[in-house]
Amino acid sequence: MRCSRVQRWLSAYGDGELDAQRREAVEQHLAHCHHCAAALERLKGPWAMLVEVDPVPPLPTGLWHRILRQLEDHERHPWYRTYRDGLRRAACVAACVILGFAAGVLLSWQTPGTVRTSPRPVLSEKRLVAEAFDSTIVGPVHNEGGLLRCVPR
Amino acid sequence: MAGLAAGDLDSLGLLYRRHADFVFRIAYRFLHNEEEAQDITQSVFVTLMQSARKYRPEAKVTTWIYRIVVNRCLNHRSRVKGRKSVSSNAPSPLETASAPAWEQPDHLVERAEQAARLREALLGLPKRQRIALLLRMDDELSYAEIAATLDCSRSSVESLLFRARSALVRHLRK
Repeated sequence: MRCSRVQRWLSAYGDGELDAQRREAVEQHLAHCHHCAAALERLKGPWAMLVEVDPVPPLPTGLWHRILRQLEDHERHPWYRTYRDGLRRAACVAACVILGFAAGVLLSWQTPGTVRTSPRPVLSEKRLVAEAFDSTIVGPVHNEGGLLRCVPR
Repeated sequence: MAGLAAGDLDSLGLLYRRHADFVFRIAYRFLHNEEEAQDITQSVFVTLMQSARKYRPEAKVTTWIYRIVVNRCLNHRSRVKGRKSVSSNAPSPLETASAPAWEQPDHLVERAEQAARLREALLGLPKRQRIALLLRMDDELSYAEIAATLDCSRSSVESLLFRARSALVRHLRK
């Protein structure tokens, strides 16, 4: 078996977590491969050193009382927690609504829209208007924002 | 768990006596900060009491506890990413030795330097590799338990541990 394959299993082998088939294969390989045996020792090394040189400090004795105090506080003021959680949720929803509305308004400003004008008057209407303003229709009647422009006589 | 769901503090006390050391150890090794590890441990047991009703009987209690502490560690770390870790109150061998550092045996100084490099390498590991390694420390959890805690396959745990240990070895050999 190749060293590259065995070395991938060395970590699990050292932990005693290999199935019987792979364990046997690794043991047979280690029996004649000093390179992989050395690799196994190197894998074990770092952790043992860290445990020795950097021990975990002991659990503080007052920690259990801190836990009890926190639980008591929660029992005394459960409404605060509920209120706080609900307020947070409401604030998130409100923020989303406001942002969505603002985005919608911004998009509508930027999109070029059509200029709303009054519908084009029919010819008879144009004539009526021209007569009313004592003007002659000499050219196209422009509809500017709902107003008709005619050239005066 | 039924007692815990009913708000029985004795049940919580029992869980605390059984698992607090392990929870604190994981939190300390992950964060390398004693004060933050205490905060994590406190929040884990408060959460256990408050969310006992959500516990699903098909999962083991220990797996449930380990998942809470792992999630707390991962979230805690991301919140305080910029903060440097405060050194532990536990004295290093160099500090406890009677002679000043420059007079101490070379091997002790070398060991301390290697341990510092190892700590640095551990903190530099990807989060899932680091957590898998910590859960395995001191033979606390089997690969199956680690897989249940991290919600992944057994072969993923094998791969995580192999990569984590190889990275530590490479870092030490630099």
